[in-house]
Amino acid sequence: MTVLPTLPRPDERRGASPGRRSRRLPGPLGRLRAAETVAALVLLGVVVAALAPGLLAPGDPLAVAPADAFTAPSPAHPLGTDESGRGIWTRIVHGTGASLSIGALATLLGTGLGVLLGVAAGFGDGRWPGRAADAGVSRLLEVLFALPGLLLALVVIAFTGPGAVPATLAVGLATAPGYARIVRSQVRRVRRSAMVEAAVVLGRRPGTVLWRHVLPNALAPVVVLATLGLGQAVVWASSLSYLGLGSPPPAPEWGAMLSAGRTYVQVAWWTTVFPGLAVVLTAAASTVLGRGLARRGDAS
Amino acid sequence: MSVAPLLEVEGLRVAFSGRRVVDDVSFTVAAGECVAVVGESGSGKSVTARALLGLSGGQVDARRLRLGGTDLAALDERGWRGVRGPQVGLVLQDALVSLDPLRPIGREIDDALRLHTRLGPAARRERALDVLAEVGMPDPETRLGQRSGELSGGLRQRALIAAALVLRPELVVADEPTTALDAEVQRVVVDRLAALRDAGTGVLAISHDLGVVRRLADRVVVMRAGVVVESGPTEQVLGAPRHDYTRMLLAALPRGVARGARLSPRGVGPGPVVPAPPAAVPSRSAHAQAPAPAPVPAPAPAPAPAPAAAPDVVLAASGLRRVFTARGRAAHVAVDDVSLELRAGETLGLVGASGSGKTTTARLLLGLDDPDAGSATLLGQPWAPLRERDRRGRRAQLGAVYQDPASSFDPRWSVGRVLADAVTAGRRTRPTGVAAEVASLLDRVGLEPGTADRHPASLSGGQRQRVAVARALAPRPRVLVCDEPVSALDVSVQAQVLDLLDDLQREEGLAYLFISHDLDVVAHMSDHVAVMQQGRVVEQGRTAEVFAAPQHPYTRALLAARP
Amino acid sequence: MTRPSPTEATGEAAPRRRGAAEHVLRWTLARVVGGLVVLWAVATLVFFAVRLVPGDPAEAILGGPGSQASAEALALVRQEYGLDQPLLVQYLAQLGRLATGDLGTSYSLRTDVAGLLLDQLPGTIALALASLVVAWAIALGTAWWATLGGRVAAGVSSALEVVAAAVPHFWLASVLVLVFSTQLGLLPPVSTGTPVGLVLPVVTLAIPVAGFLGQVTRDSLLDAASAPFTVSARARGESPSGLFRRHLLRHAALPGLALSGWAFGSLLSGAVVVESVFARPGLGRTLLGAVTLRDIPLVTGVALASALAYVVVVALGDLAERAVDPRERAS
Repeated sequence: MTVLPTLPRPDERRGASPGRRSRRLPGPLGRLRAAETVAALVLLGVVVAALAPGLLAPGDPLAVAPADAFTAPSPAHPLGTDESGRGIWTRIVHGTGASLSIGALATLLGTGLGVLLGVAAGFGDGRWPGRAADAGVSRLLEVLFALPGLLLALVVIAFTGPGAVPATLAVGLATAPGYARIVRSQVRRVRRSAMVEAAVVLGRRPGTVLWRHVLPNALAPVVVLATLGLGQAVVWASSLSYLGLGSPPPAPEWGAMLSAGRTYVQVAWWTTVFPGLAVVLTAAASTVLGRGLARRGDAS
Repeated sequence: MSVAPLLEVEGLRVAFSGRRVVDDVSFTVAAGECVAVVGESGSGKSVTARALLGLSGGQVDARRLRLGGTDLAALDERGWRGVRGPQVGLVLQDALVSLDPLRPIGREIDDALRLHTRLGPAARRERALDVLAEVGMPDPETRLGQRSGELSGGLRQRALIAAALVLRPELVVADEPTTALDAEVQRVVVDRLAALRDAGTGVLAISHDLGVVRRLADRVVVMRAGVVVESGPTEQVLGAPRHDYTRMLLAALPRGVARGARLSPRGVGPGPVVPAPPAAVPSRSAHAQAPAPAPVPAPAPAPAPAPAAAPDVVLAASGLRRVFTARGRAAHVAVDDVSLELRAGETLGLVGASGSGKTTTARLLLGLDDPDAGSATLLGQPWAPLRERDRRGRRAQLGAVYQDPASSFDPRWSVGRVLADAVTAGRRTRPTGVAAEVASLLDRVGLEPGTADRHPASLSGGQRQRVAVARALAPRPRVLVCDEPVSALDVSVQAQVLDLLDDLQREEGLAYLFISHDLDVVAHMSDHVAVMQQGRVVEQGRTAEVFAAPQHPYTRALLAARP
Repeated sequence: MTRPSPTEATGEAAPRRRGAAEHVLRWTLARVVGGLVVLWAVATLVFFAVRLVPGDPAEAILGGPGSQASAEALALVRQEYGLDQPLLVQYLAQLGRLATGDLGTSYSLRTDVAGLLLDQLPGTIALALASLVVAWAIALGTAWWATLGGRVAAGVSSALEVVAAAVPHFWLASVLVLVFSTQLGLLPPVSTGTPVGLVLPVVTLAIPVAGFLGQVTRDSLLDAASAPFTVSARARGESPSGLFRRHLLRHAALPGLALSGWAFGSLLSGAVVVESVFARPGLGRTLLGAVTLRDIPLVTGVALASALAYVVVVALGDLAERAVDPRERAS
């Protein structure tokens, strides 16, 4: 589960002699682009499934047919059926909306909160209001980090009770510290950069410098981070559902499906493996895409 | 009686993915001889050096590549591992990164011994201590256990050389051994290499610093874009060069060139991003070059006699002091009682070793930092210390040019956007014709108008620096602070930028504060010079006087340390 | 032989710092104080969270509005927590209790929270530590393989790392149980007391962390492999394996060590799922039960224990980092 996606550092030595070996991942550029294209297609499919599940899986995910329970993967049901005879494929597709929306909303919440906290803390060097903000936010972040990931989400749920909305809130809060820490270091780095100094020498006012230079450059990686973080948010959201703390049954959410299938794993492995695979594919695709975006941003 | 050369290179070619980086290069090195390979970036000299150790990568082939009795061209990787160390040693430039910063230097030296000899731990330690003493390391026992970061500049360079020497290789390859080092440390390295040469080791020195080459090398090979353009004994190549390129390189050196005289041929533009293919046939030894008529920069007449009255003082500093405190460390006095004066149309050079306080002084004068004591005035008005809002309106009077312009541009912006931003900055009203002003700025610094659409990262180092100068000029300043503006540039490009700065100063009557660690550049560019050491100005005065008859021992040491 | 100049003779790069012993003392003190601050902050947050939740705090402590707590239980809680008293008094009383090690009573399990935690903690710590070791081994192993195997190996290990980092614990556990337990019958599906029963839980926990550690390690490995000191080492005739062992390994491990706090946290949070899947007793499972039943005292206790463990691990990771890289660094 990626919590802290690493930002590739910009290659600072330009004009290096041709003999110098590049530090980027080896492999022809073509191969990397293929992976990203596949990832983008997968995510596209996921989004389609979330918005219009009927396109990919006509059929009712809630229709119970006890006679068909536990059929292995077959032409009629490509991924088999679960304990109530519902098609796994249909349920996975229809569950995309629930799983993805929790993950996406939680990521939005996490990045929003993380950016606010990170920017506030990033102005910590200098006069005292900034320093106080930095000290306060940094301590808060330390505390939040001391309750890592799922633990923090669980603690939040303990207070709010289970459900889809509390799960969204919990995952959002749990991902915020990671973003905040990176945004904070970005803001500090940009504020100390030669670019900002040059702007000051030109006579720009601090507000202008902030708006024109600091924020756009410091927050540029946030989109990439959010893409990387989306996969992780989906993983956590489905973990919460798996533990019975997210979307209540019979909603076809991936984690919940896996939880239900757990008891039958010995007889019907497809009830467990396929819903989890959906989570893995989504998370992996968003990670690959995010890293590809990061590399593109690095190269430009 | 001719001695067979130690190293024979004939027809060396190195290509990366089909692109030839080194093309048909040939030279020899004899025992007890130092051969220097000179060239600018992109010349292929470093790749050539690495190829002699099998570390260049890419496809390497040669008609002949022999070291002593070994045929290097026939070696596989295993064979190379036997040759590297005992037969050929490599000395890179900065010991801080060329020795593993996490390991004590004793271990680095010990590794070489452990890989190639069968000596036991005690014997290896003896050898290590011996070689450290040989390179002049004081107190070798203690040094063995220290890491490169714990040693001062000169000592760690000695350690680096010791690590390459400990197996007594017949040939030592030194790749840019003096670049980015302080003058005193450079001298240490050069003396060490000279001693090696005198003791009978063959030395191949790669450098772009012709001063070092003069001191160290018996013969010189000049490379450009992967090809050898000229080679021969040092006095001949550097004294009476036959090839255009060599002549241009020598003419670009600022040492001894009068103030105001050009260093680069007039009309030479910024040049293409990739170095052009050479026009000359690679010479191997005695083939005479038909010397094409080259625009030799004529020694310019002495600059116009100084006006009867001294020009106005535009920037004055008095008693500046800046102390940095950090938790757990003693307070560091970066600038201590510094007083300077800049006059219109004149240049004040500021020299000193790294850490002497030059950059901090520049920051204080630019108003990027406030002094703890002392004051500065700009055009007669108070300038520092002052509330930023009281001085922001006057910032148009000052401009700054840095060593690395790329980091001072917004990475998202094109050149045109950078300049347009500089044109509109600090002015209350938006001037019409911003585009026209940008075009005129580009023209003044010798760049094509099309440059405005390009991204700074796609430009060459020289072009980027011109953009930085253009940006500094945009608000029409009276003073330019240049902090190591040409240190990262090749000699020929450096010459062009220095000429540009000179032209602009004459046209606009600008005052320059010119900071550099390179005494030759400062001597060429400055009317007055101030020498800094550990935060204090130890000597200042007219450049010619200070350099001809230095009073302070530190100034004397700096001048003596020049190769 | 040139004599060193006077400025060189001392050879010291930076002014001497204070003695080593005092340095260690300051560092330890800073850590302890920092840790206490974190614990205090967690306790305070929980305190206010309980009282901010709409409704009766006593009810919240007992499991929320749906808990149907009896009137006597409510009265008992009100008395124990002094909920009638002013907020400040309650707060100070709570801090006082925590300072003496009284973490309250779990209403769902009817036992003393502190004792319960001490019981469960070792099992989870053992699981997390074993998983950390395995994760590091996998990360370093794939990094080493990538340096030796060239482009193919690097591409494969990169792909593996992405997948490993994207895999949720619950699914991985199920798949591993499916393969090794159901099909191959090699390993038990639930935790027995034996070391064999530890294998699947440890592997499940380790893989996602190994995925991320592997990415970070490989990035810094690539950096180090093209650094000048590597060229110097190769110029001495160093072999690839010697290069890795003596130089690259240390450099590659540095960012991972800096992340050890995060890694341990990730393991702790993963332990929640892994312990419930493999029916292993431990803090994770306890927390899960507590959250499901909304047993606030127990949740508080686990949160504090986790925070404490995290602080300790971060401090240890910092020590390890300094041991590998003693250079001075600005924070």
